[in-house]
Amino acid sequence: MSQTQAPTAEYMNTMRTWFQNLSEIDHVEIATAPRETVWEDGKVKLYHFLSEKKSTIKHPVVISYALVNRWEMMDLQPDRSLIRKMISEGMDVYVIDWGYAGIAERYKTMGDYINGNLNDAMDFVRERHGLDKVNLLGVCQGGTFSVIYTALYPEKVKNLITMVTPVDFSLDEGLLFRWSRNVDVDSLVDGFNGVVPGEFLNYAFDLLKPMAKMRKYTNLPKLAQNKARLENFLRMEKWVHDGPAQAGEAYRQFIKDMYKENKLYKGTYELEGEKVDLKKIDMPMLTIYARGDHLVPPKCTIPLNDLVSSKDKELYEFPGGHIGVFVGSRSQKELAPSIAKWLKQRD
Amino acid sequence: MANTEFFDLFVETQKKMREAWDGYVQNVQAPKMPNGEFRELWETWYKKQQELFNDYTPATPTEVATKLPDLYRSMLEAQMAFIKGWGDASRSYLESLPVGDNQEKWTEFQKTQTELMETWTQQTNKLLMEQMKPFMPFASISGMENYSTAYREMFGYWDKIQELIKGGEGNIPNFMSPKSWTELMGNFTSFKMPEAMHQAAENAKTLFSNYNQWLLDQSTQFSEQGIRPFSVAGLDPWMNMFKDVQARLDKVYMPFNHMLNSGKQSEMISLLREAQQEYLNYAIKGTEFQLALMEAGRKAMPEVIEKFQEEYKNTQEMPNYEAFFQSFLDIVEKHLVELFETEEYAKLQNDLAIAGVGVKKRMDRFMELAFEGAPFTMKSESEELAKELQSLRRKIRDLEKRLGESQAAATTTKRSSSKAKTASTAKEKA
Repeated sequence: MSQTQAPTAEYMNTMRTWFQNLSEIDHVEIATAPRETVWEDGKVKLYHFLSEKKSTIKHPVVISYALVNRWEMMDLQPDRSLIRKMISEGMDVYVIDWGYAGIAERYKTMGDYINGNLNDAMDFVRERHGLDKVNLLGVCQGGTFSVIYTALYPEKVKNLITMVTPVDFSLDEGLLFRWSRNVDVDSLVDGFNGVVPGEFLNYAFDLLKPMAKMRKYTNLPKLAQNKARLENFLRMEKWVHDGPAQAGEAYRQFIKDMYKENKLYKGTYELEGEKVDLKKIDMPMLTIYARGDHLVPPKCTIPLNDLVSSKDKELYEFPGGHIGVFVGSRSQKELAPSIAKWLKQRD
Repeated sequence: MANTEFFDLFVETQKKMREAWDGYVQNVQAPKMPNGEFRELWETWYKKQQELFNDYTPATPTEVATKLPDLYRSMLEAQMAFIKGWGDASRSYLESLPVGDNQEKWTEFQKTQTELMETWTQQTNKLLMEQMKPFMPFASISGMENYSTAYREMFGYWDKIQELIKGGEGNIPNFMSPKSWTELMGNFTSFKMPEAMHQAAENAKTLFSNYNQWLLDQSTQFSEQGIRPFSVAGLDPWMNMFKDVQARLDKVYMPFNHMLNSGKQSEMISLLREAQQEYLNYAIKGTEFQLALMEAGRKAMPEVIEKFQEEYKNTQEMPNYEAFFQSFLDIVEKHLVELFETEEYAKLQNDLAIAGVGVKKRMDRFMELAFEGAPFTMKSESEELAKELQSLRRKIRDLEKRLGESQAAATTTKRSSSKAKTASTAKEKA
């Protein structure tokens, strides 16, 4: 169907159905799995997901998502929710919501996030369950945070799971890695008055697959003929456009220490004066990477396996892209059950 | 300062500024200029800049002597008109004020004031949105709108493209003009810029003159609706604030004078000039950016045409536009990614972003200086609070950690001494 040709009856029908479907959708909701806020500190919150069934895995899982984008991707809609699936597989799930950074967070550092918020949330869950150790699952940048945290506090982590987590930032094949190495992050952070807008980052993410948006809109009229698919589309759009701003200091540190100097991989990284030695990670570890990940290519996630001293460690290749890990059908059918199985064996 | 010294200093400053400007323009003029057309564009822009600059900064004492008095006169006339208006209005208000009814009047102007503040804030945001955002690379431009435009624009060439597919003669990359390619690729990648450099210069001029006008309008509105009742009620800080804003406005309209000043006044002038320069820098980098995108698009077209030429030869069937459009997307994406993977592109993208935020940073600071003393918290003041807050949070975290360690140590000591005591008692019993 072309917008530029003279409107045919078929075209008019397509448009009519599209608008009819759209007019019937008042609003879309994401992240609807029942949950309660069990701990909060400033804008940072810890959610506990509620379940009618008792969890079959004793040690709960704390999820640390990235600061870039929102955790809701893990619970986008009821039938595409990694979190719901994890719960149904017997896991007791907690998620850290880092909140929307604003001017109050402009001086917040990686130390504040990791030694502060992440550690506090982990302590809360350990105390709540009367356990010395709990499971930690880190996603993307939140996975890098989890790796750093685990190296500093190995006594608090029962099992470590990293999902599409960058560790070796020296790669040339990812555009994000090339661009970040060239960015004058000091001028950028200072120019934005210490709070880097989500829209700015989104523009860069869009350019990674520069024609993806065009393809998306080309397919939209066809997709919009089905109300359920249109709702899915709108949910994803809602999530995509909800990218939070970044706390300037933490962003500056992450770009400099990771993308530019690759300190974590080289073993020279220090957090608030304390050396982060990845060899201190000795508990069971599961490294999940996505074969077709254009944001965090497998080459920058897999090396983690060789940097830790864990004897019990496993690589899990997901056949999809960065986002597919959370919302793809295989994510529900295969990934969540695999995580549950892996954790049960090490509970 | 004696008049002669004033003029000498003034002319010397002008000269230095002119030299710096010439150097700047020549430096930015040097990079790649692929053809005569582009060079002509640059030269036109350069001349236009020179003209603007000449109008703005008279270079000879004669010109200074003729222009400065006019500026001073206009300034004084505006001041006189304001003072006269102020006096008349104050008298009129006082005369209308019934004895013993102060409370009602007080409530009324409080309400007026609140509304005015809201309007002012909204207007400030509106100005920034309208004047600044459209020129920034990170502006949130509707993807759907870009898609629709790109789709339609390319369809405009569909007849021509079909001829090329059938094997018609023609220079494929050049069948669209550079301008059309630039617009098309801008829509494909959501990047928009002023059309040409001379337009960028015009935009810069419009931006700052609009800003000045807006500032003037706001302060006038403020004096009429807000300051008057407060001042009548004896709230001098409000009047002082207005005077402060007015004084800063003077600085904007009297740049020649301000160049000879120091402190915040001088900073405001510098900020405006720096922002203007940074904006031009942004425009230059943006044009290079557009050029790079355009080249990627021009490389893609021959490949797509050749692909469909081959198919046409075999089937004698023309593909539909949809198939062509999808194919173009695939191939142009390949070329764009090739471009994005180069170090040169990464550097250019960085330079563009830094220039964009450079304008914003200076305008933010300028706004703060202009509204210093206003009864609302400035961003930099919030930042100071944020710094304090973060520092306090870190101290609390540190104290909590130490407390936890002390408690753990105390518990261990208590357990050890308790165990030792039990052992000693057991020993005694034995």
